[in-house]
Amino acid sequence: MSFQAEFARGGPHFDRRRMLLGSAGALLGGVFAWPDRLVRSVQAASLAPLGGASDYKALVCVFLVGGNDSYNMIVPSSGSAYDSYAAARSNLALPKAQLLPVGAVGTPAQEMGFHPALPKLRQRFLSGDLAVLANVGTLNAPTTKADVLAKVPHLPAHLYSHVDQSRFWQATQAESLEARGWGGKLIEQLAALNVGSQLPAAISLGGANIWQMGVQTTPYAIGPTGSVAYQGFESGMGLARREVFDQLLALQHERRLVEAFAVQHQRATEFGEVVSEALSTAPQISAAFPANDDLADALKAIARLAAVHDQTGVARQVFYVRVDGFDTHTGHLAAQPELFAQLDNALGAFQDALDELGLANDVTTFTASEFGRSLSSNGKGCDHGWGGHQLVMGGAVAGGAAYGAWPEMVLDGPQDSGYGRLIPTTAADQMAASLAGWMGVSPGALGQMFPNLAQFSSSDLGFLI
Amino acid sequence: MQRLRHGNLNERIWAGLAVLCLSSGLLGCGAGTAITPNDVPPEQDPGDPPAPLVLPAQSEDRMRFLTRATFGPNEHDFTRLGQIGYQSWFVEQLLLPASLHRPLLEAQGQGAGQFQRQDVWWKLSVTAPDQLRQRMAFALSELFVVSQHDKILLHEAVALADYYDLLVQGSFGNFRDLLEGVTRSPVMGVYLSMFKNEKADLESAEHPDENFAREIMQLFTIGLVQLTPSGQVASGPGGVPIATYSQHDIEEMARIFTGWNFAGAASWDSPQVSLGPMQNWSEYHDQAAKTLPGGVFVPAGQTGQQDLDQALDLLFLHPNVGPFFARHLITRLVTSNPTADYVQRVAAVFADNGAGVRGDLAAVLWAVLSDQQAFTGHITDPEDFGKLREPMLRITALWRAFGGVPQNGKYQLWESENTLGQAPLSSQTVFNFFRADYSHPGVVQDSGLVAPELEISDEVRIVLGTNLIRTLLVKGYPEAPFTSSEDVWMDFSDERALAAEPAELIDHLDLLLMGGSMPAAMRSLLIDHLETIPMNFGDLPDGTQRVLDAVQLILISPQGAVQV
Repeated sequence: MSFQAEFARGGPHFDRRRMLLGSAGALLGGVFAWPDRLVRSVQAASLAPLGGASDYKALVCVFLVGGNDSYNMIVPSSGSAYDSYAAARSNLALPKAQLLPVGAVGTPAQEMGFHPALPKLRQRFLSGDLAVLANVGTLNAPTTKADVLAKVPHLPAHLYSHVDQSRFWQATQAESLEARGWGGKLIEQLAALNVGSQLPAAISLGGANIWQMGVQTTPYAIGPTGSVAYQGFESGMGLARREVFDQLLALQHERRLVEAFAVQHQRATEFGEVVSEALSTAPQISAAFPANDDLADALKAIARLAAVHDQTGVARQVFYVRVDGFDTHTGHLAAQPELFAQLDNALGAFQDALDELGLANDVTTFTASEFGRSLSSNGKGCDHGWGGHQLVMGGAVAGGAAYGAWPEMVLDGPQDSGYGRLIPTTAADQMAASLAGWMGVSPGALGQMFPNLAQFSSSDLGFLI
Repeated sequence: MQRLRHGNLNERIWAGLAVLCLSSGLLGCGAGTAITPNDVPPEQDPGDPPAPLVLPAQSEDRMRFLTRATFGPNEHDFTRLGQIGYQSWFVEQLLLPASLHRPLLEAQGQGAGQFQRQDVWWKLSVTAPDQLRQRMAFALSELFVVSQHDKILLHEAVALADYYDLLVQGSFGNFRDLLEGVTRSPVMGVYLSMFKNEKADLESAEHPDENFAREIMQLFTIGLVQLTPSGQVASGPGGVPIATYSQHDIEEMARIFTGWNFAGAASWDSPQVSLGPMQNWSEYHDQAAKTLPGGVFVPAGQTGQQDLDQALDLLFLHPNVGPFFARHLITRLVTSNPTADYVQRVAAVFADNGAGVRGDLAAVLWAVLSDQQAFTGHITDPEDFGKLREPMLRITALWRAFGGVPQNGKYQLWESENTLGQAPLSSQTVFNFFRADYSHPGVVQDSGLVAPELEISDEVRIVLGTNLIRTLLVKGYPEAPFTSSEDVWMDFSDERALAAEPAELIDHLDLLLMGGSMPAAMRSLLIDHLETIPMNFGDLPDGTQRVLDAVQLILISPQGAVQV
């Protein structure tokens, strides 16, 4: 399976190296109609010195818990591709006229449209800040329908199961004893860049998660307003109580669970003050985040923390946030517009905030989800699938394009493993390795982190500059 | 063939009692147990009489038993247990009438919603006499998960309370009956979308919903892979685990669970809500033949109920269920990392309660609570035995230990989902508040342990929970400076009486709140700290500040957070 960076308008393979080595301006006059955003990124990439004060990069993982029905997120909008889509999706198909068109993109070049509840993200796509990764999923090696029918050994274990497929997306070597989150592992790979940082580089606004768990790394959890302070330890008697509490934490603990709990308290104590102090200097953000929305609150907190990276001394950071509610077996038609509107408003405001803070090129946001959903309907919704589309957003994204091959949306077709659970054509590991590579993990280290990567034709999908 | 169906609840309890009498030489069972000819094997060769079960019964043992069997020890249960012993206490609890949640919620009138439902949970969990049953129901609610985090159920507080009562009433019954009750519950029907699930529509290519079909197998009964009798993953050829079912099995199972709708619905699409068990509509039920996991054939033409019976029987008789359920119950009540033998012993009781009955939940519960590892694990496995207390149970333990009574009758712990990461029937997903296999980098993962409750003990929750305990304490007694009619008042008079002797106070609290597991170094630190606090502090009754500091430090300490 060939996988090269395919750019907008179905142009020929894009040679990224040649692009960077050559003159972006000269290419501009060529046959390609590059999205504006891409041109600016390329110019920035060739002009900005490496290292220095601006050497900050962060990934934001927006995990869509439950399995996002992404085949309704970006949809073929014309011709036989739409007709196939509509036939396969039955009562879940979006009317053609409601789709927000983005022109012909991807491989094969296909007229596509965003879900009507995603106007802001569609705008970001058009302005070149957002890319679509087509039909990504859990794979140990390129996989065909014949492989699925033959139950070959390299099929991921427990396909279609929430917990197992979440683990696969979030971990490297998901099925081995070496399983660790790739966010946590990449931070460990890049530890030298974070020497002297006062904060853990893995910060979660969604509590515990596998993605940020490395060999030693554990996510540090904060709330939407930052760290939470202990009460009752402030003055007089409180100070004495605090001292006893600290001594209790520091005792030699025979019981391992006591030790683990004590460590959590010590981390809360140690890092809470750093976060609070740093956030107290964070600039005001005028971008309009929606009110009373957990995702928006979380993303706003991430923007503020990224803005104070200088104070905390961190150069490479990973943030995690989760959004619940995507397991739409039922109530699908009512739920999906709400879920997508929530994503659109919160992610749109987040990118506005990053623009405002001058961090657009430093922070890359991506969606992930344990699986896509079945194309076919159960009448009220759809069931667990396999492959699905993902979004990547940020100034460093070569946006306005779709990467990877669009799946054939045909029930019982060549990519259907059953009921329209489409076999992925791009591996989650390829997507992860591309993001980790952008953060600075060397190709050799990527190969160790993702041992299955060698099975695929490309370890860099080329969506980041 | 094992009996799958049983008589009424009383009959089963008496059968359970008979088993307890047989296995433990328990006094007081007496003649009343002879009434269950159907559930007791006809004539057995008596052989050697079983040795009477002798369980350690020091004060610490009894407190630790109550930590598992109730929502927290208090003096009343401690004394009663000392008077009559474990078995009699257990039987006494079995026979108490069930305290139900729905009637208390409905008594609050039309406007009662989820907050009021949660309040009823706190009230009954802290105060109901049938503590064993309530605690078992809570453990079951973390297996057969439903949640208010659902677009429909959010507005159905009474229905959720009714579902909880299904678990309360089924706590000492048979697993097979409970599984059917859960399956046909309209609340589960809505939550896992089995409700109004229709047979395939060939024209539109629509197929039955797979949600319940998948989770009843993965989460409620057999899990993903074959298990050994002790709950370990069984190895197939090449050391690879053996899947218990395939995607095709799920699709077939989904066809089994078609045609169910609200009881008494006037039409298939009727919006009318009813809390009775769902009923099957034959025209929406897939009546073609099906094949269940393991190749079991389901003939064409069966009714929805016949299909359901056959599928539930198959799951109920699967060899995984015993070890799967045993591990769940052990990890909810006793220890996160039980020995294989412990799981196997409990699973064996699941398979046969001693009277030939499979799935006797009362017998399984007794097996969990009376197992030798439950009584000696803290000695034989001092590093790893025990579990993190669930956040909500840290609060119930506080209120039960000191007789917390809300001044306005309401516990009002409405923010517990934010502060504790837990609220009754409020899991974010069907995977419960935390995953059963959750581990954590550092000492837990390095030792190959799991610590499910650690998943909701992140740096935010751990501080909020600490602050909550402090708030409940500093406002939680009549003389407290900032208390109000909305607070839960506790009675610290016994503790104040000990406060002049800090060592005695700490030893008393060690027993009450930690089952006597306080390390010596912790004890010294606390005693030294209390001695720096004047007996007469501010305007508070003598000794109050010492008591408050001691209780707070114990409850927020990592040592106190782990139950052993």
